[in-house]
Amino acid sequence: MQHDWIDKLSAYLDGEMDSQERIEVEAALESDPALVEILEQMSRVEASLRPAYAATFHEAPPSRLTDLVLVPSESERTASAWLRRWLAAPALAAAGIALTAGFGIGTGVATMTADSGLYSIAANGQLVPNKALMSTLASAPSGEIRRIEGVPVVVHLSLSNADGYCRQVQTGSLTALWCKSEGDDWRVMVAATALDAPTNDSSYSMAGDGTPDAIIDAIKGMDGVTLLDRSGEELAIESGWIE
Amino acid sequence: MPAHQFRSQLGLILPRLRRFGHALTGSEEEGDDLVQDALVKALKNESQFTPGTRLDSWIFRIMQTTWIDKMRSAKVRAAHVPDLEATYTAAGVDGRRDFPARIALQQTRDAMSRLPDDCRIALALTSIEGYSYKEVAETLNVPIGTIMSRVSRARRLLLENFSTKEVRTGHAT
Repeated sequence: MQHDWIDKLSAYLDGEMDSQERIEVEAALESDPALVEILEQMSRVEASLRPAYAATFHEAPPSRLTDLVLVPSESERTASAWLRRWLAAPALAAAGIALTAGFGIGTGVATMTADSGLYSIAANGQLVPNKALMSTLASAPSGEIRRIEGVPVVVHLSLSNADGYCRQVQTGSLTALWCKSEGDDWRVMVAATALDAPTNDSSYSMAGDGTPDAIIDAIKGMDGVTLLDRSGEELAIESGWIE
Repeated sequence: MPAHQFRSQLGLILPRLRRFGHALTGSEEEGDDLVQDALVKALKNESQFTPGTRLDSWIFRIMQTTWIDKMRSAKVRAAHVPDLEATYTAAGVDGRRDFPARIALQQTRDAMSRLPDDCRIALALTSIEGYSYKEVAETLNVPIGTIMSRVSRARRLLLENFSTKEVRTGHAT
């Protein structure tokens, strides 16, 4: 009898019953204190399961795992396929595309709710990174995952251009191109959802290789783009992103 | 999906993979070994992943099959010894003050490690990873009724384990 009830209470605890079954279980619970005791014991055990592994979840993963998934091959580090193709086409690069500087409140803030703790919005509509994100922008090598306020953050690439430096950074579901000129702070040039790009808005659709079109267009619009390899990125970090 | 994006997405779910690995194997080190094996397989067989489906489910399944294969080939599984030393010396924690709470968590992990593999996997995906029975059934490719039975059996065994401990404690005190 007890096994049958443990089956039912287990499903009840998981919310895996239809309304009729739930009513039957709740009626039984009202009339049988022993069942209530079993359910309470079950709930206590249940409540201890996730905390039992919380430390593993929250601590930084060992490098043998992060290296495996986050360090791209050298060819990918040097340039993603689309960018290498584009850099090899001087005429297209010279033509350029006007860069949409800044990040208007109406263009993508709605995509940022999950990551909103990482930014604030200045009076001029610019996104301002919090201290931890600012530090990550300044010091994190590409491919190294960091967690800020529970949000995984990873830099995908770094580049220099005629005005300074830019870094493509994914924060949770948002990928953004942050740029910095000498004497200025990092600011978002363009952003788009990284994993769940809306399909009904071409400006935020994903390009063939997964890089959002908006970011590709922004980079195409820059003058003097040079992708930084590992050593170039290390030098830029050491110099504080000052040319 | 381009390779760098695939890897980035794997990186984003890495904490959950490690948590599942720990729950599945009973130790963090062994769990990381399992995650590493599963990631190598996933990267090697990336083309088999269907974009638009859940990447975490795909990797969880790889981890589950890898673990089952490992257990079958090993034939024996060393009994998990509670790591009391680690419990005392967790970095940044006052060992004396937090000891009872951490012992309780260690007991939970020990009890989990004693469950049959199929029950522990079903319970970990349901109670720790927050999957519905249907999602667990799809991930493990078994009927939903089987998942319901495994979760229930896991809970019954955990209850028996904890009630035994309570009786022993009562005698001791």
